[in-house]
Amino acid sequence: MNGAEAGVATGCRDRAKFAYRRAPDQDAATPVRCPVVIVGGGMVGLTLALELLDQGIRPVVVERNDTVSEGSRAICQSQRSLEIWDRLGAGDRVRARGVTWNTGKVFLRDTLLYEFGLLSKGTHKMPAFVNLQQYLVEEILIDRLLAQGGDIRWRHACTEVDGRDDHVSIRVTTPEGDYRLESEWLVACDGAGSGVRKQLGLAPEGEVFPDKFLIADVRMKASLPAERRFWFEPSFHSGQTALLHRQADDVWRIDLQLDRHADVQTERDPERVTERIRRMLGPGVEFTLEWVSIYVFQCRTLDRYVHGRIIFAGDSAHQVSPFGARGGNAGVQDANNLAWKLARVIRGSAGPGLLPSYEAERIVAAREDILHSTRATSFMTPRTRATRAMRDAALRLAGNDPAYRPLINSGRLSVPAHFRHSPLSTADRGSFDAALGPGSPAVDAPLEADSGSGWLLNRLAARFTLLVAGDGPPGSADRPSVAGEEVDVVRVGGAALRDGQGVAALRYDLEPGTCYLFRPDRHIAARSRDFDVQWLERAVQTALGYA
Amino acid sequence: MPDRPGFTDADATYAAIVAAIEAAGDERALAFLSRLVLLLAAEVRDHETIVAMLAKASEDLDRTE
Repeated sequence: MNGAEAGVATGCRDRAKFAYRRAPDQDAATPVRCPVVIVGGGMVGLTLALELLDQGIRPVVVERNDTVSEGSRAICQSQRSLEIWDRLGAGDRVRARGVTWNTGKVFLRDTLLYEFGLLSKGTHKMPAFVNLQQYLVEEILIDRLLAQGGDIRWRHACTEVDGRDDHVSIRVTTPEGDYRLESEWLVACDGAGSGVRKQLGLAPEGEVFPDKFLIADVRMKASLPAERRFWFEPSFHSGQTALLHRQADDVWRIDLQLDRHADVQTERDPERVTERIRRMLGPGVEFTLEWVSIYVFQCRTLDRYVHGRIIFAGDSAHQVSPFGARGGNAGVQDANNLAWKLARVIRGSAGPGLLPSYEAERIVAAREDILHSTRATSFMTPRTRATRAMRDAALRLAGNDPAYRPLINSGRLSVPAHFRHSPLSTADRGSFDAALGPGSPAVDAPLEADSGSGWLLNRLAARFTLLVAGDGPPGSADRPSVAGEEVDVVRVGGAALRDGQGVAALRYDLEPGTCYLFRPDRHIAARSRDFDVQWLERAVQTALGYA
Repeated sequence: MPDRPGFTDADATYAAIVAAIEAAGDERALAFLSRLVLLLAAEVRDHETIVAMLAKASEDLDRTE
C-alpha cells in the first residue's frame, strides 16, 4: 500500500516499544565500516536482515522509530512469503499467529456473484494465504532477528547518504546526536516515502489513481468465517466497492472506496467512519475502531534498483495498490532475491552479472505486479462513463453466466514471479513437461523419510542445492564444490526420501536421474535429464553471474 | 485472424444490430454495446484476435472521425 494520508490510531493496541540504545559505533574515533546497512526495520528490512544473517553477513539495521508499523498495513501474507520466513525460522509462528483463509467471495450489490477456493489439498506445507497484521509479523521477525544476534538500532535515523566508489558514508541521527557509519552497501527498505530515495533525487514512474479509499481496522467478535469478501456496489455503500477481511485477534480489515473528491479530514472523522461501518455490518454488531486511514493508490516503480552501492527494496523501489496483496509480499521476495547475491558480492565470489540480476529479476516482478494491480484498480474504479459501462456489463453478465466470471477483477492475488528470461538461468538439458522451469520459484511437495513426513522446501537450504530424482549419481553424501560453492545434494523419490504421493514427480516432471539445480533463494537455475558434472559446473557459474 | 466461413446474410445481421441498439435507446446504448462486445469476445475466445480487432477499430475511428 502506498500514498497514505496520515493514519489515525483510534483505539489501537499497545504496540511493542523498543528502547533507544547507544551503539558502540557512536563512540568510535573514526566511522566504523560494516558490510551492509539496512535503512528501515519494517517487514522488508527485517526479512533482509535475517536472510543476510543466514548467508553469514551481519548487517546493521537503522530504524528511525521505536516501534513496529502503525495500523495493519500489509495483512495478506502469501505462501511464498511464508515459505521464505519458514526457512528463516519464523514461518510457523506467522502461520500459527495468523488467520488461514481459503475462500474468497465476490458480491454484486448484496448477491453472491461467485466464490473461489485456494485450498492446497495438503500438498504444500504453507497455505495460500495467512492474514496477519504487518505489526504482528514484524514483532515475530524482530524476535527472530534478536535471537539470531542481529543488530537493530531503534531511533537511529539515516539522515544523509553519500555514495562513494567503495562504500557509502551515512549520517545517523539519534536522540543523543549524530554519528557516522560507513557501509560497503546500503539497502533502502524505508518504504513508499523513502528518505534515501529522496536524497538521491529519484522518482518512481507510473500511475497515480485519483480515487480515495478508507481503510479501517475494526475490532469485533463476529461469527463470520475467515474468508475474503468483496462487494461491487453494495447497498450499504452505494455505487462503490467494499472489502472485508479477517485478521488475528478479532481485528477485521475494512476497505471502502470513496468518492475521488472526498475530503480527507471529513472522511477520517471517527464518527463518520463509525457510521459507514455500522451501515456495512448492520445494527446490533458491536465494534471498536482500531485504526483508520485514507489512501490513494500509486502503481509505479523506479527504473533501476541498484544505484552504485545504494540498493532499493520493497516499497522504496516499487508501489502497487493493495488489491492482490502484492506490496509487502513483493518486498519480502526482493529481500530473498537480494541477500544471497549481496553476500557473494561482499565475499568476492560473485560474477559481474550477479548483482545486476537483482535489478533485472525484481523489476520484471514489479512490472508484473504493477500490471495486475493497475488492471484491478481500473476495474474497480472506472474513470469514464464508457469504462464504467464495460465494467458494469461484465458484472451483470457474470451474474447470469459463470463463463464471464474470469472478467471480474477484485484483485488478482499475489503469486511469485517466474524469471523466464533470467541471465542466471541455464537452458534445459533434455525435454521437460512441467509448468516449472529455469527461473521459476521452487514449489513445495510432501515427502516421506524414515524419520517421518516432511516437505521438499525444508530440504532446500540457503545454498545451491542439486535435487536428484531416484538413486542415481551423485550420492547424497557427496557435496560437490563448484566455483567456491558447496552444492547440497537432495535425493527425491529414492530409498531415503520417498515421494509417496507422486506430487514432486508430477510438479517437476521427474524421471529417475533427473536433476534440478536450485539457487540459494530457491528459484530453479537449471535442470537436466541426467547428472553431468560439467553441466553442473556451468550452471552454477551461470547462476553466479559469470555467463 | 482464423479462417471463417463467409458472412451469412450481412444485411440482416447489420439490421439486427441496429434494431437492438434502437430498442435499447440512446440512454442505454453504451451499456448495450458493452455487453455485446463482451459477448462477442467470449465467442471469439482468442486474445490476439480481439486485440487485432480493437486496433483495427481504433485506426478506423482515428482515420474517419
